[in-house]
Amino acid sequence: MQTLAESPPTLADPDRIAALQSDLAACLTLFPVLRAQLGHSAAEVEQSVLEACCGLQTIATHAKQSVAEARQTIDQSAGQAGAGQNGTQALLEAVRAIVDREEASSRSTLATVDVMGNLENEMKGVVKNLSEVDHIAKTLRLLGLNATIEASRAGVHGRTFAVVAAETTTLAVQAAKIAKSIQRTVASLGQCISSSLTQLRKTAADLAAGSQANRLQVEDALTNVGNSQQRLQQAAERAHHAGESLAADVANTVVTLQFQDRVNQQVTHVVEALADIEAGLGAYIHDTADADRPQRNWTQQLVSRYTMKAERDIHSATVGGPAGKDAQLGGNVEFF
Amino acid sequence: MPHTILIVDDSPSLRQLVSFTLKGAGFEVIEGSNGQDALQRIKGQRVQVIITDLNMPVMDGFALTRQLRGDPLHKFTPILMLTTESQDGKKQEGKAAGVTGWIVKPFNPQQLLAILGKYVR
Repeated sequence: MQTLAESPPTLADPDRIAALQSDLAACLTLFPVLRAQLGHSAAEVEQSVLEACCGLQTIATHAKQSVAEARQTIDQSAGQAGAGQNGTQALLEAVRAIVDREEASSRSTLATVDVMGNLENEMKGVVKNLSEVDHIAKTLRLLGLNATIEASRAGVHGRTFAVVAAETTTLAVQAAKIAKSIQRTVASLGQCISSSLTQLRKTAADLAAGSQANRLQVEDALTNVGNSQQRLQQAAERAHHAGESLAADVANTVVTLQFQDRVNQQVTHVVEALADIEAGLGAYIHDTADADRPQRNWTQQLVSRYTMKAERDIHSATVGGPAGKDAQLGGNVEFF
Repeated sequence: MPHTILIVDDSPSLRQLVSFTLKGAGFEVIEGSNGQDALQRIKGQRVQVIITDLNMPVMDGFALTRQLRGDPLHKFTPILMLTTESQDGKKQEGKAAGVTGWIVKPFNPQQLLAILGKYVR
């Protein structure tokens, strides 16, 4: 009789078959658990992707709004209120016109100063002439006096001459008085003109200095405004590009998130295959297997479930089965 | 008037991703979870393009295509199969059923929109 050590156990041994049956029954109870675990994993992934999609929706909406606002800012600052000049340019022209008018006023004031200066000189000329008139009047008065003296010396013959001399003296006195009066008036006018001229010169100088300072200040301010506007436009351009870049990133994320669909399909096929194995082996455990039925082709049954090139590639790499007959990658779009 | 696209897929997240892409481009979207559900949702209504998965429970993409080709409203509507299947045999089967185009997943949003642009203006 052979001992256990001499005769290796075989599946024909009733004890071994009983042990196998017991083990198989125990394993089969795990199949529903395994299927449930896989199903749960697929469901969790599906839920996570759904939530990620909602987040993407929000990001895309905000990105779109930002891009639209940036575009609007760019379009508005690039122009065009009216005839082709932007708001800043129109403001610049208006302010320059104000400064120009200010400078024109200054020049006009200076011109007035020149005119008044000429007037002052003319007045001085008049004063000089009046001095000469006064001198002439004095001379005439002396002449008149001399004539009166000569007329009195001429006696009766000099009476007419004496009248003329007296009239001449009278006229000379009147002329001297009038000349003095005009001199006083002109002197007074001259003083007013001088005083006004001094004030006007000061005002003209102040105007010129002020308009120059204003021009420099305005140019500086407008340069700053122009620079700010340029920076704003550049920032808007950057925001626009960032929005477009974000849109591209979102598109790439959409491609990546589709992994869930492939995972789901693969897990489903595994779950279905486990169900088949559970049913098939379970029939032996529960003694319901039909001994006459043809041998099940598990491999063919599994392969028939495949819907992706990746599944077929994994199968081939693992068990060396027939390679998939998928079309080459790169032709992922085809029109009929 | 925005164009209406019918999306059919048993994966809610995939439908969400396609819908997100199309709505972002200004399309109206109707969703169906399988062929039968889709037919119910567009009953009596014309859509401009149909994008459908192939492998779905209840009614798959080929059966849906054959039903749509028998409907006067959608006899000539472009039907795009969006599926993980890439085997030539399946594509030929699709072509025989009346499918217009075949897109292998994962889809690129910009490419999808460019394809739709061929059919809707």
